[in-house]
Amino acid sequence: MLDFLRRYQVPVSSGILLLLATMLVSANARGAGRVDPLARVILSVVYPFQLAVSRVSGGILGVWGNYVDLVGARAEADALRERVRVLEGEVAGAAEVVAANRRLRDLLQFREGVDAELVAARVIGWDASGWDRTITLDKGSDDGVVEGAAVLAPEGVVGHVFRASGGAARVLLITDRNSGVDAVAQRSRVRGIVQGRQQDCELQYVKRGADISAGDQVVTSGLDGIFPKGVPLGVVASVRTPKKGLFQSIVVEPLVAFDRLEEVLVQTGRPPPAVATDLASAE
Amino acid sequence: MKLGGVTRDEPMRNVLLIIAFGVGAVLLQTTLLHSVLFGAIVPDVMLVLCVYLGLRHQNVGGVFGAFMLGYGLDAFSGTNVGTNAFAMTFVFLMVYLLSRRLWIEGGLTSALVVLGGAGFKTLALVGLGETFSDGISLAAARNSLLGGLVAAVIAPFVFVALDRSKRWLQVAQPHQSTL
Repeated sequence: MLDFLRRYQVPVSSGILLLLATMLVSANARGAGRVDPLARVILSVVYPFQLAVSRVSGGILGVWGNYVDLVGARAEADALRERVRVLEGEVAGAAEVVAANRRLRDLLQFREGVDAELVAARVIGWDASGWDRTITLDKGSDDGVVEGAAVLAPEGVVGHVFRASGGAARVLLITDRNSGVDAVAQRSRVRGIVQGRQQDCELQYVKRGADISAGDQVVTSGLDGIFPKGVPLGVVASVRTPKKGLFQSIVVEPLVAFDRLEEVLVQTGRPPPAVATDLASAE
Repeated sequence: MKLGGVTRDEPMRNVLLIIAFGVGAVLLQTTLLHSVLFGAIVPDVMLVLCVYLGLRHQNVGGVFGAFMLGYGLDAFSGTNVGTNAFAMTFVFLMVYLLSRRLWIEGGLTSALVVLGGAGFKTLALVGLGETFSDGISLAAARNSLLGGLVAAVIAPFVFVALDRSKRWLQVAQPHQSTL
């Protein structure tokens, strides 16, 4: 027996760990409560490094972007090269400050329009694989961020927090295939569920013949107990009625540019009741 | 202390080396690589580390290392803990079985094995997705394979970096596993 185990130690131990992983996945998939004995600890330990790398890489990319922009001008005016180099750093810094100022002003205006307690957070990381659509924020349970909290941007809904450690939180974007948001078409009040499809979303469970067309804005219904009512989700890109089935096939293009997301607002208090501010109709 | 050319500290050094590379890979995959490269297509550096373990550390420590790499990835990817832990352990097992039948040495073959590993990983994720959730997204599977393709390109460099780091730590032991 001992010889067998020694000889087949790799296949046997692989089998045991595959079984353990399957049990973890199965327990989480059943939704009976998240089973992640170490994931939250790992997030807590690694996020300070992630924050540091994110800041350094952001700075490098910002300077690099400005450098590329200035290459043409430098070629045209060789005599001004030295002067441009001196100014380059200042311009890069100023442009970054102006852009950040604009984003934060938009966030502030948006925050005043939402009937909920919100805290601003910075995006410090994206999903480690191309398989899922998640981001990591620099605010966690120490700042009042709880699991299930809505995450918003001035353009609309970003997603919701599904894991929060002391100083960081992970957010499931609305474009992830595991995300579903109760939604309503702003014009016709047709209801459905906005389900993620990686790059865009689909408005599901809208009956054949329901009044919805391309260009309609889709907003949150506020009935899922997570998102405030009336926050924009996206715009209907296409509507198709299949030959079979009860429902229409509706593609929704999200309003938020997830790949360029830098700051967001996270709801810290209890989700507001369904009758709260309707931002979209207020516009 | 030396025991037949192997110091007692070497297994621990190997573990620390893999942890350091694992943390570095996670940081790169969630920040810089995401911004610089192709958006949804993230080079799967963790997969390269897993394949490295499968080729160089064919023992229980290697299996556990692959599992922990996957578990670490689960902390920064997706919502379902255990998914990547399963996929990485599966990749390790497949690479181990493959390496017992094929002679795998050199940069090109390691790149090909990583590419194969990307296929095995996608297969495992698709299997789990079909079994435990509402199925899989074709776009996600495509991104996973493309991430594996980019990982295959960088694999020889990562292998060299790991081997040199080991030598630097004086733990390199060809044909003998120490993890």
